[in-house]
Amino acid sequence: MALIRSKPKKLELLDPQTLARIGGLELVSRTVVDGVMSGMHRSTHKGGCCDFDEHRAYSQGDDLRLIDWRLLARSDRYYIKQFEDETNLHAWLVLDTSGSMQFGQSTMSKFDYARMTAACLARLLLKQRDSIGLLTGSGSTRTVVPPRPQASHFMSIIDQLQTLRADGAAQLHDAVTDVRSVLKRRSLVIVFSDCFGDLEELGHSLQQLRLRGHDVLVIQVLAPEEISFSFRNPSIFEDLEASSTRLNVHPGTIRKHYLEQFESFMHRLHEKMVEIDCEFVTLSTDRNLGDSLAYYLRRRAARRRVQGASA
Amino acid sequence: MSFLNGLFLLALPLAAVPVLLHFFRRKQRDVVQWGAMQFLIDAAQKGRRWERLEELLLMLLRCAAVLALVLALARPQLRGQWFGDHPSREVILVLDNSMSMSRDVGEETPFAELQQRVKDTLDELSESDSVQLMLAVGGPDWQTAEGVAVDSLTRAQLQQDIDKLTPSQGTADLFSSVQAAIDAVADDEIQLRHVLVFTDQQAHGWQANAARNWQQLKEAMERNDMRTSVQVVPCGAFSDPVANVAVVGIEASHTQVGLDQSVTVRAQVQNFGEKSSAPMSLDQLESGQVTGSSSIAELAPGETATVSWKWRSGEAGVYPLSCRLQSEDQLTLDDENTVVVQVVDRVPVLIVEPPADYRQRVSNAAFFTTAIGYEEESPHAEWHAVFAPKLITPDELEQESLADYQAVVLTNLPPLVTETIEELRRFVERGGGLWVVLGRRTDRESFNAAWYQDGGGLSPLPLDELKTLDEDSTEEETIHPPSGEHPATAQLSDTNRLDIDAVRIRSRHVFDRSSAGEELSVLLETGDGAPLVTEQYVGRGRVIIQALPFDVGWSNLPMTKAHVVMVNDWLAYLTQPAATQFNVQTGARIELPQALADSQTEVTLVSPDGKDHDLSLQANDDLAGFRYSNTLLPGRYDVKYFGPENETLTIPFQVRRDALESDLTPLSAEQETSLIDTAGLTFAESETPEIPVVTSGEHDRPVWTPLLVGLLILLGVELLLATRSARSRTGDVSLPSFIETSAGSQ
Repeated sequence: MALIRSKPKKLELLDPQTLARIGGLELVSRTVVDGVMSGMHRSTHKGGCCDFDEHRAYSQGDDLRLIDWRLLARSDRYYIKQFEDETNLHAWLVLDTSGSMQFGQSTMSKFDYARMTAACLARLLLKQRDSIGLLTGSGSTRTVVPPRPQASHFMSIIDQLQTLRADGAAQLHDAVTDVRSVLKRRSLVIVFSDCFGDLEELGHSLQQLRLRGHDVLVIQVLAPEEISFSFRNPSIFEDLEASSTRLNVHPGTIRKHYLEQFESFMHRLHEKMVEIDCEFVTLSTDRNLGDSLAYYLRRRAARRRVQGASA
Repeated sequence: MSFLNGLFLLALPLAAVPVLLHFFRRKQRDVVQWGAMQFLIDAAQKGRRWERLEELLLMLLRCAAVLALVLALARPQLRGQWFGDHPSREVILVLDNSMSMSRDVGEETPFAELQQRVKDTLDELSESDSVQLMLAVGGPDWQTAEGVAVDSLTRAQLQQDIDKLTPSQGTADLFSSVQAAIDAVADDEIQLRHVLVFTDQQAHGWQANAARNWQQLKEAMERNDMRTSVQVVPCGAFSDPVANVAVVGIEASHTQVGLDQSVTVRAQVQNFGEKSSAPMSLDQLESGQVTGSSSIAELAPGETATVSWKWRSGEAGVYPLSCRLQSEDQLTLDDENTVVVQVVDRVPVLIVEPPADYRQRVSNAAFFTTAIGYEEESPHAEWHAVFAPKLITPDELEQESLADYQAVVLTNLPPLVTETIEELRRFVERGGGLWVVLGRRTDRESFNAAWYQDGGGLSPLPLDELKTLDEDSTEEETIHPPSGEHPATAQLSDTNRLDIDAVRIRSRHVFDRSSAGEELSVLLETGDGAPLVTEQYVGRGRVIIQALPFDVGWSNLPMTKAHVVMVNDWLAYLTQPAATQFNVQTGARIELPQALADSQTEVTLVSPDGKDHDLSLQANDDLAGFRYSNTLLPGRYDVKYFGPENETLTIPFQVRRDALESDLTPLSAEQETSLIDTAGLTFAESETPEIPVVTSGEHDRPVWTPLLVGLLILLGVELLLATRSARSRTGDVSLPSFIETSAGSQ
C-alpha cells in the first residue's frame, strides 16, 4: 500500500473496500495441481518436498527439530536449516493488452478493471501462500514475471501491472500460447480479457492448456456500452485496434443488429468455454469489483464443496 | 408567373438550411473509441443503407417544406393555361322569346334576327369561353344546366337548339333574367362574366321604371368576385309606326255549365297601334272550328271593343272556345285568345235542413230545389239546372261523405256539433262551397261560439240580436242592388231585368259589424248598409253566410225572380273552386280532374312550345292527382291520355297571357338612359356585340392555396418519417443477460 501512496499518479490497483470484500475468501483450483498438501491443495508429491534455502543461527524459541545436526557436528554451532516452502499452487495471470481493452466511456476502462481484478486475485493468492506469476503480450512485447510465493513478490506484480499499456492489435491467443512455454508444472491460468477477436483461435490455445492439465479461468471484462449499445446520438466509431477503421452511423438504427451479433458471439463463447472445460466469468466494468469477485469466489467455493461431497 | 409579395422571395436561400444542418450534424457527430468493432461492422452493413436514404429523404422533405412556405408567402400567380384548358370567360346569353319578338317588321321577325345574332356570337367564342343559355319569358329559364366550354361540338349543338326555338305568347321578365344571370354560380376559374341580352327593346318586360331594383342589380354586379357586365343587343328595328290590334281577353260567364246551358263568352279587343284600325271581323271558334263571326268597327288608338256571343253544348266535355281577329297588323299571335269551358252532366249539391216546424208553410230547401228546377230530388222534365241536389237532415250529415259534393247548403241553420263544423271546414279548405242560411232554428249564442269563434271561424261576423219589424209598422227594409263587379252578383245587379230591389224584409238576423275588418266581403246588404250576406274564403273554398232565410214569413225574397238567379249564380260561384280550373294564370299550377287520377297512372302534357311532359300521380292533401306547375309559357296545354278503348283523349288547359305584351311601345330614350345610368347596362350599337376579353392580370390565378396544401402534406410526411426514424433509433430492444447477478443475490 505504501507503493500506491508513493505513486499517486498511477492507477490504484488495490481498493481497500474491494480487498475487504474478498479478504475472507479463497481462490482454490478446481483440479489437482502440483505441490504438497500444506494447506488446501492436494499435492502430486508423496511424502513431502523440502528445497533447502539457507541456514541461520539458532535463536531461542526455534523448533529443536529444525536444527541441522550435521552442521552442528562439523562446526559445533547451532544452525537452523531453512527450506523454501513448496507452494501447492502456481497461478499465472495472463492479461490481454489489445487495444480494445482500452474502451471505457461511462466507467473505467476494461483494461484498468482487468488490472484491478488481477491485483486483487494476486493479493488473494499470495495470502494463501500460493505462487503468482504474470504474463502479458506475446512475441517481442511479451512480459513475464515468474511465479513466487513471497509477499514481497506482490510488489513486483503490482509494479508490472502499473506499467502495462493496452495498445495495438495484440492477439490474446498468442499470449495464451506463449504461456504454455513458461509453465513448468500444472498451474492455474487466469486470463483477463474481453475475448473479442477470433474465437476459434482463442478456444484452440485455451484447449491446449487444458489438455496439459492446467486449470484455466477466463475472466471476461466488458463495458456496459458494449452490452447494451445504449448510444443515442449519431456518432463516429473509431476502432481502438486499427484507427483507420471508422464507422459513421446512427446507433439507434443498427442497435438491433449489433445486439444480435453480440448475443450470438457471447453464446458461441459460452459454448466454447463449456466445450473445453474452462471456468468462465463475465464482469462488467459498471459493477462493483468487490461485489463481483466476492460473488464469484463464493460460488466457486460452494461448487467445490459440492464436488468434494459427491466425490 | 407573378408574385404579389415578391419580397418574400428573398427568403428563398432558407431552403438550403436543412442541407447545411444535415452536413453540420454529420460533422458534429461524437467520436467514440470503440473496441467491439467486429459486431459493429456487421450490424452497420445492414442498417446504414436505409439510414442514409432516410436522412436524405428527410433533408429533401424539409427543403421542399421551406420552399413551399416561402413561395406561398410570396403569393404567386400563374397563367391560366398552366392549369389546362379551363375557360376563364363566361358568356351568358339571355334570349327574349316573348310574343313581341314574333312581330312582322319586314323581311324577318326580330326573333329570326335574334337567332342569327346569337349564332354569330357563338361563332365568335372560343374554347377558352364558357357559355350558358337562358330564355327570359316568365323569368329565368336556363337551357343549359351549367356553363359549357365552347368547342365545335357544343357550338353546333347550341346553334341547332337555337334554330328550334320559337317565340312564345309570354312576356319576358328581363330584370329577373339578368339578375339570375349575374347571381349564377360560376366555376372558380371564371374571371369575367358577360351577360348578353338579345331583345327587341319592347318597353314592357324591362321594368325600366323600377330604378331601385336596377340600382341593386348594379351593386350586385360590383360585388361579384369576377368582372361582370351586361350588354343589350337590340334585335329588330322599331322603324315603322306600331300597328297592332289584339284580343286582350276572353271570358265565359260560367266555366262549368250543364248540358244545353248557355254560356256568354265575352272577348275584349284593343287597338295598341298608333293609328286607328280598319274595320275587322272576329271569328268565333269551338275546338278550332269556326262557329260564327262578328264585325268590329274602326278602333281609335287605345280604344277597346267588347264582343259577346252565346254558346251551349248538349254533350258533356271540355271545350276550348276561341276567337280570332281577322286583321292585318304587325303581331299575329295576339289575334287569337281562348277560354276553356267544361260542360258537365250534373254537379252534386248537398242541402241540409232540419225538419220543418209548424210555422213554416214551405221548407227553405224547397225554395232551393225549385230554383234549380227540381221537385224535391227529382228534376223537372222541361228544365233543370246542372246542380243535382240531395236533401238530408242535420242528423244525417255526420254519416255523409262530403267529398262527393261540390257544395253544401245548410238552411235554417240549427246548432251543430263541433266535429261536424270541423268536417265542414276541411271540406271548404279542399275547395268545396258552403252556403249557410240562418233561420228560425239559428241560436245566436251557439252560432257565435261555433261559427264565429272570435274571428277564427267560418263566419266573418258574429250575430247580434234578431231584428223583427212590427206588422203594423210602416218601416221597411230593402236590399241594396249589389255591385256588378263581383262574379256572384253580376246578374243580380241588373235591376232592369231582375227585381232584387223589390224585396221587403220583415225579420232578419243581424250581423254585429263592429268587429269586422276592412277586407270584409259583403254580397248583399240592406238599403241602410247593414250586411245581409257575407262571404269568407277558407283554404281553396268559399263560405257564404246569409242572414235572411228563404222564408216567406221573413221576407218576400223567395217570391222574386231574383231568387232563382241568385240560387243558380251562387251555387255556380260556390262550386267553382272544386271544379277543375281549365283557365289558369301564368305560373299557376294545372291540376287535372280528380277522375283522371282514378283511371290513369301516367298522362302526357304538351306545353305551348310543343314539348311533351310525362306526369305521374302526386299526393297532396291526402288526394293523389296529376299536377303541373311550370306554366310560365302562356297558351294551350293539352293533356293526352288513353281512353277505355285505347283511343287518345285530350283535355285542353289554357294559361292566360299578359295583355300588355301586345303593347309594342319600345323603350324610350329616357328609359334607356336610365338603364344605362342606374344599372350600368350597355347597349350594343354594332350588329356583333363586343365581348370584353380577359386581361393578363385577370388571367393569372392564385396558386398559394395548392402550395399551402402541399406544405401541409410535406410536413405530415416529414412528421411520419421523422417519427418512424426516431422510433427506430430509440426503440426498446430487450437486452440479453450475460452477467450473473452479483451483490445481494447470494
